[in-house]
Amino acid sequence: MSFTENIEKQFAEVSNSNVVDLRRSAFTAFEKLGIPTSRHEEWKYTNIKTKLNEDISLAPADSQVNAAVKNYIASLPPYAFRIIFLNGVFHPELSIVPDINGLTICSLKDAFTSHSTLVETYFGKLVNYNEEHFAALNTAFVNDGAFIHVQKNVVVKEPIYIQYFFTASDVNAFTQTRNLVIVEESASIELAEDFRNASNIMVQYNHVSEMYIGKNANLDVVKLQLELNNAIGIHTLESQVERDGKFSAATITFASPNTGTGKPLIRNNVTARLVGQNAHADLNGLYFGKENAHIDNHILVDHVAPNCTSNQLYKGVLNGESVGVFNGKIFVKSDAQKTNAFQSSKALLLSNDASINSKPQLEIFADDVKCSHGATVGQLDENALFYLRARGITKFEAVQILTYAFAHEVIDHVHSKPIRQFLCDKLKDELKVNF
Amino acid sequence: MADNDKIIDEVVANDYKYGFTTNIEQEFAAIGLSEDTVRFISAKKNEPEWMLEWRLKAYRAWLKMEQPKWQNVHFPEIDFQSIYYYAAQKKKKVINSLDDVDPEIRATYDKLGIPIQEQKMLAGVAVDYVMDSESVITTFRESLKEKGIIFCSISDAIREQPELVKQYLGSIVPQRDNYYAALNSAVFSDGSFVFIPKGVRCPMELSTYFRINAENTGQFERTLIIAEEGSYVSYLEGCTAPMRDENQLHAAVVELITLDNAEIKYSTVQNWYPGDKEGKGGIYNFVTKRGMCKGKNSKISWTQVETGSAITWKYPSCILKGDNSIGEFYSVAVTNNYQQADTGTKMIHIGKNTRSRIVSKGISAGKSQNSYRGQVQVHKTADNAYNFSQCDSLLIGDKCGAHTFPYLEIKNMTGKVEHEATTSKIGEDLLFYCNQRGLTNEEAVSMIINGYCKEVFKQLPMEFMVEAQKLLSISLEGSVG
Repeated sequence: MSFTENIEKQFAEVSNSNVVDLRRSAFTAFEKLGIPTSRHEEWKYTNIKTKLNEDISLAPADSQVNAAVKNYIASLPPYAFRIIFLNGVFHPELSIVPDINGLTICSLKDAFTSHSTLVETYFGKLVNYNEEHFAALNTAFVNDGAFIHVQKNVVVKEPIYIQYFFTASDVNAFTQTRNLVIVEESASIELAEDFRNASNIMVQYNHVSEMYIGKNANLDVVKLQLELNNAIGIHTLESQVERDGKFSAATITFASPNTGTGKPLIRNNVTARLVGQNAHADLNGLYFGKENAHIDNHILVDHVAPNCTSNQLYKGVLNGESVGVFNGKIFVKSDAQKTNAFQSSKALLLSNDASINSKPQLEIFADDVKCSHGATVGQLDENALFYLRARGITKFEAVQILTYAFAHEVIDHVHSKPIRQFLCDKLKDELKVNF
Repeated sequence: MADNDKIIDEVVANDYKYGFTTNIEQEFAAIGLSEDTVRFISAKKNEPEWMLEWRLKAYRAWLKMEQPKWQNVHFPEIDFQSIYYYAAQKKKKVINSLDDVDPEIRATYDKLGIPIQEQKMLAGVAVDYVMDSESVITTFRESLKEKGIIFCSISDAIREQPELVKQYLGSIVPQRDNYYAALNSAVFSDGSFVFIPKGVRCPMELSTYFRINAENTGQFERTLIIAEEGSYVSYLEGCTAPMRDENQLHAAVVELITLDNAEIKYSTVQNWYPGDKEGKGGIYNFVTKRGMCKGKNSKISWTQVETGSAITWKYPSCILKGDNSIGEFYSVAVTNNYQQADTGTKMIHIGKNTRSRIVSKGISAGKSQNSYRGQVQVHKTADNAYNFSQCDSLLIGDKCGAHTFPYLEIKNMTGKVEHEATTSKIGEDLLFYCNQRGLTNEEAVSMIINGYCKEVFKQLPMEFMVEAQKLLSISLEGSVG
């Protein structure tokens, strides 16, 4: 099957003609945009073009559940609710989908037909596919993902894990996955987007999430990128928050040692658009870079409406030859008076071969605002290290303890208790601290 | 609020006080830019062959370059073929005293409010007054000569100090560094040259007043300052320009070099014509300024007060190559009406134990856009490098914008970089406090803004500080409430 035939086949599967039109225009946009080079300002420090395989395949990869995958899933801690995707394809037999009144969860592929009105209203409306290369690619070629709709006043108490496993059945595969989350007025839900590479071979994927937070609604998202050795992953999260709505997103990346030939790369684009008064966004991130990992976080908080608040806290620990990139933007549009926006970015360099490129950015068009950002790069406090060592703690342990304290601040911002606990344990494992 | 509106209206209505044209006969190069223009300028200046070759190399590089588009300022495309690249005063007489200076020029001084006589006596400043690309007079040259200091126009330096010029010109800003630097290298008409020999502390502030005079004459100044081992110099650059409708391009290049234990302090007060209240006219100020701390323990300090120009686009930078060297950047940028500014600095840490400090204060009013763009690089070799940056923006009115684009690139684990930025308006509580104590809104605001900029102003030499405060109040007078 040729490339275009493949596209046509994919489009034909979607009965909604408006969605097909949108995907077609996204495809045209991508043809114009192509894969960005490091000459592009947003990709200045992440040369994605040289990292991706030259001939990428966009055809849905093989998603057979074999024994290895089954074992892998069995070894994971049990989650109350989980929605499992293998190489971007939904597997209902492995998932535990909650049965709650007013909560709809299904695969995006099904939602194209079964919830066509909602999809038509919300799909592709937040991503700017005319400018964002990978959002355009994803919009055109997305095959599957999670569709979550929380109706008015419905409060879901247990967190829901959306888990994407990759097995690299085809080395050229560039899997396109997508979540569409709609939280209606005064509803509330907690989600975890969990990405794992279940194989030892390099995988490539491009994930997009669109999240709508209605009036007085609440959405907590934790992006877990903990078991992603040998992966090139591009994540885009676009959210829109209405009046009195609250959105919080935490991105936790532990880039694991790489055993393959390629260089692991994780890119996160997180955008929160505050369009109603008194909306709030909380964007946090923690990244650990090891060996030759490359972790890139691009954050944008767009204050469109007045009286909104936002908070960003990003912390990174870089070891080995890892490279960290941080780009945090705060836009305040001219109507957004009385905005209060804060951003803090801190990085610890623990090896002389590691490097960090940080670009905090403010663009303010309203005068009655309070906006600030702080960025620091440095090492652990000499005095704190000395204090611990004077009390008989080895240098190695002292470094681990202080790093734990440094990183823990971000985990404190995760609202969901079970996820917070899970991350705490994970962090202790990672740093080999015991207390 | 009605009061504020009235005040804003008043400021907006304020005409540029330094707008006037001096009628002096001019000699022009043919309009437009070609290899012939470059040859014409070089011939006019009686330059040696190697200099012409140097210029032509820059011109050929420029032909292959494209205009940069990444900046956060917007302007109609410049037609480089409709600019006069050379305008010199026709009659050049040998001048021994100020009395011999053209009365028109003397009148210009008076309008600027800085009588040269008085300044000479008061401050002991040697003024190399550049009127449209040509040095008119150099005072104090004799007394500087005694100490071995060379302070002259760059054209004279090319003829008289070819070895120094050959060694250092273009060593910090190469001909093909960027589009406007290449253009400058090809057609620069004049500028200043300063050489401070080993161990000499320059006894006075060196100062050059630039003035763009002829209509349609892009001004391409070239400044080169060399501080040898253990020397010190403080250099002042101040500008005002006459009112004019057509946009004028100013693409200067400034290069500073400090050897071991030397220090250069470079201060700028810039108040070129910013355009009228509709944003018509005004100067385009596209300048490449860069200094290199070549030797150990050397120091370069940039201080700038930018109140004029329709567009200000410059990044005075420091390359900290010598171990223990220090770079500093202090800036106040004020934009009003339709002015645009994209300014900041680069601190490139290469040597060990290098330190840098950035303090940037932006004030935007009216419909202006003010950006800070700064880069801090800590190279792998720069052990224990330290940078501190602070950039604050103040917004006055709801139609202006303030932007911050810091780039921090750290490749050494012992490097320590701290950056902080804030954007806000003048606090109601501060104003209230002042009002309560009997100050009017306007007095209060001017006091608060002066306090806000004080950290930068105090870096300026005394005479400049007075002028800077004056310029600030002219630029913003009453625009706030």
